[in-house]
Amino acid sequence: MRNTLLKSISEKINLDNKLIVLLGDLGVFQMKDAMKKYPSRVLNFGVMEQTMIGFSAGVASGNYYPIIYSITPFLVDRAYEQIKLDLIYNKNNALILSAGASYDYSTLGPTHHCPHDITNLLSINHPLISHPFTKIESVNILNLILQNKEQAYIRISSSELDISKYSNLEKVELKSQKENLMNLEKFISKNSLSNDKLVILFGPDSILLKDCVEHIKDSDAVITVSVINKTMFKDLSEEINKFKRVLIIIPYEPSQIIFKLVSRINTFKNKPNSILVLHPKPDFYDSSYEKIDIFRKYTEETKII
Amino acid sequence: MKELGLNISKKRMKELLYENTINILKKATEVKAGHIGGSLSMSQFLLPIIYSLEIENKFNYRILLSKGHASLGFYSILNLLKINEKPFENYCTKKSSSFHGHTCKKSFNKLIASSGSLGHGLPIAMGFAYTEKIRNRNIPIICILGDGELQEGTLWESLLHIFNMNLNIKILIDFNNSIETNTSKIDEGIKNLVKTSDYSGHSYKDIKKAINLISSQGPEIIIFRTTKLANVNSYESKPQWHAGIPNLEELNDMLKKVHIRLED
Repeated sequence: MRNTLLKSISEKINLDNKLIVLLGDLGVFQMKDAMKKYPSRVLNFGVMEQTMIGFSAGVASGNYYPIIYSITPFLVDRAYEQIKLDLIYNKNNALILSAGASYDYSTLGPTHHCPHDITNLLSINHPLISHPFTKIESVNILNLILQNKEQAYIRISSSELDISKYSNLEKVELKSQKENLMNLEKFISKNSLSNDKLVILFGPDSILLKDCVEHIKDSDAVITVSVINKTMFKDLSEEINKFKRVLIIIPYEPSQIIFKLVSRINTFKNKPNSILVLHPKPDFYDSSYEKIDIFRKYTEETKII
Repeated sequence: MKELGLNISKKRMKELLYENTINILKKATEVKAGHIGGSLSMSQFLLPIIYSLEIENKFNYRILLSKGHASLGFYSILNLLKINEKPFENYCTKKSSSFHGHTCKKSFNKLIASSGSLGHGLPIAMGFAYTEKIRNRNIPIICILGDGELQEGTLWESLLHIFNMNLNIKILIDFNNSIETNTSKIDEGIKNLVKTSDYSGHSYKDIKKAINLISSQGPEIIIFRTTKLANVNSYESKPQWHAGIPNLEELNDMLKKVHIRLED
């Protein structure tokens, strides 16, 4: 997915002279042709993430749109205050593209893990966070973001998940999709006769959590969440309200998502009978784990209702 | 680029500095807020510079107060020179249109960012200057740092790019010795690394030289040797006046002891 996105950005650079790409010494090989062609708009800024985010804020205030690319913990953890103040508080729009979702760099140890990026960004009101499920979707989301030049974060995962390939599921159009195509996609089971069990997947790593595949096969409907923004919380809570049992699968630190959903769901008269969240247990996994092993072995269940 | 000067007489500038000092002390006491120590040290050189740029030369530049806690000093200058009176009038009031204790972008149309957390200003200024460079406009960006802030890693990271990219940034350092122990001799550290100009914030001649550098092309680092709570005799250089607020008795005593030092 990361090569696809970098290739797409290289193409966009040709068409949009307001884009400035800042690489944190990552993706330099993939962007080498664009760097050669547009040396002033594709920069390898080096390994100084805090300064790179601050610089991007200045670039945005100079009426360009910066795209910043590096490894997740070094961008979101190390430069957290710069994202909070220089970008969000100062209203300097930028696209942060991060590689290394949750445990993509699993064997490299806790210094390279970042399962809390989305929670941390949500807690500082980051308005548009995305974790595309497929390469095609990642390009569609990128195109939309570049069109509007919004404050945006794309979390690139090494996993992909095309839920339309499940033969028991068929896609249905949500009302909200006409207005906002990218937030949610809903699939219903061909065998389903009722609105009993809903499974919600937050990004492609969801499939790695324990028993996720069985839950999908056993459900009456599946919703995939690709973009997290205000509209998503509204649309998703309305969908949740239609089912008796809801299983939310979040392959990263889930507290902000749970909090924002619960605050909406609590306003419903008729709530689901049960809402359960599957998520990885937060810990420092200090051995050479495979990504799938961390998710499978350390899946936790948190009961909301 | 047009060469800048400062033609106002030293006597008149001393009068303006006096008025500015009185305003800052009174406002902080009135609203019980503000960092008066750094506001006064910075004003010593920033008031003449803004006077030259705004009043005498109508110069095109951008500015960023990386030491955002000196906002009271900055707003006081904008007020005194009638550039924008509102931020000073509404400084830390309870009105919805009030301005808090760190610099807000909305206070001045040439200010490129709101600031407050140390170490954030220079990278932002650098990004803005970069866009000026690739547009071939090169409007100078003035970035004001305090000496304590020089310890932030982002300064040293930024210096790696500013000179290589030959950005038109003017870094003004308010070196008021606010760090209680300058054990790292940070001013010497910068001087060993890059070309700097080391000026007295109390020398009219030095301030004029600095104004001239603002109109030159390329990066400049100007260290202004200043004093905390500048020009308030017997209160200067005392750490408690970094963020300390005078009570009425102290204010009255301070007002009696204001004596502007501006040498030739």
